[in-house]
Amino acid sequence: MFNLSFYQLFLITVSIFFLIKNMAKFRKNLADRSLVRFLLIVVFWLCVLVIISFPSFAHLLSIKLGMGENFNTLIFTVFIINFIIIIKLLASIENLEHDITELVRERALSELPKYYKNKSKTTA
Amino acid sequence: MYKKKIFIVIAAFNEESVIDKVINEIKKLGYTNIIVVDDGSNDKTFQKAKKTSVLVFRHFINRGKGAAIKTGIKAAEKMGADIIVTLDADGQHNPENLNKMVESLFQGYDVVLGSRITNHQFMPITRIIFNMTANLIIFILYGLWVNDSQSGFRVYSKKAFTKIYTKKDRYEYDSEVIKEIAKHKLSFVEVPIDVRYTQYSTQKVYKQSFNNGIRMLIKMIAT
Repeated sequence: MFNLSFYQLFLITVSIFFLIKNMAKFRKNLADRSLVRFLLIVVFWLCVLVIISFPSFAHLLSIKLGMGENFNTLIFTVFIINFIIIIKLLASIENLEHDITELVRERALSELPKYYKNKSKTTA
Repeated sequence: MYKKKIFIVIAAFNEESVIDKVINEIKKLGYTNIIVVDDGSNDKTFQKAKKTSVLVFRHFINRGKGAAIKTGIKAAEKMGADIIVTLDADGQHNPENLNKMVESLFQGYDVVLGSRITNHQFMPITRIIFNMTANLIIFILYGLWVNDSQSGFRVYSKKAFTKIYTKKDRYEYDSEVIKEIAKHKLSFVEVPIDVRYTQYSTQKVYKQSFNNGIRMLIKMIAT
């Protein structure tokens, strides 16, 4: 029924492995795991499973999305989307770093009012 | 008299072997308002600085040179500073140049930048190349040519330190200040300074290495 190559079988095995692993982790640490993150991981590996098992599906999808016969355009579009996501993540990280620095600074300068009092005593 | 409203800000990270010497050298010149910001050192930098009876603040975790300088500048501003001087804690900068730098500010400039380039005979070649590359990139990005954009020995007038707003925490801070100078059209002058390259200061791996330079470049362009 399925005429799958070794490469396809390998990737299907890997996808199923990561799907099961993530589901198990999510069940175990239900309180700590983000549902959105879990769903994204599941959707990703399911897409890998479908595309590897039914390669013609990717070709069909490419046509339906208006990219014609050119599957490379679909891959290129996905790369661009990934790049945008990475840039947004970097910006978020940058903002978080800034917030951490502000908190650290606030704590460091909490001693400052004590120096004010000493200075006003000496200059008075 | 004018030395009263001048604050010296020193950002320090793991400088227990030299910090007291650096502070005492500055004190000998008559500068009494010294602020040291210990940037999360895991040695005795904080304790050694405290023993010299200057103002010492501590970041409980390391946030970078830029973050530490900004903390020091905020403290100086709250203490009523009119002029703020920043210099490195590793003894690279010769405090004897302080008077010359401050006097240059009184000629009507907003910022005085210490320049090692005019006196670079002892500067390691890798550092010279790094500096020139950084200068060129800064010129391309911000349209301002500075002979030594990476020198931490700087003097700021009140107008300058109140206008300059930086977000970068690490070594990109030095370049970001140049960007702010260009943005706010602050007047500046470069003054030649002596550099003391010792085995100690050149071994600082977390300073401007090639990898740090690449990271700095990416941050300057992408953010």
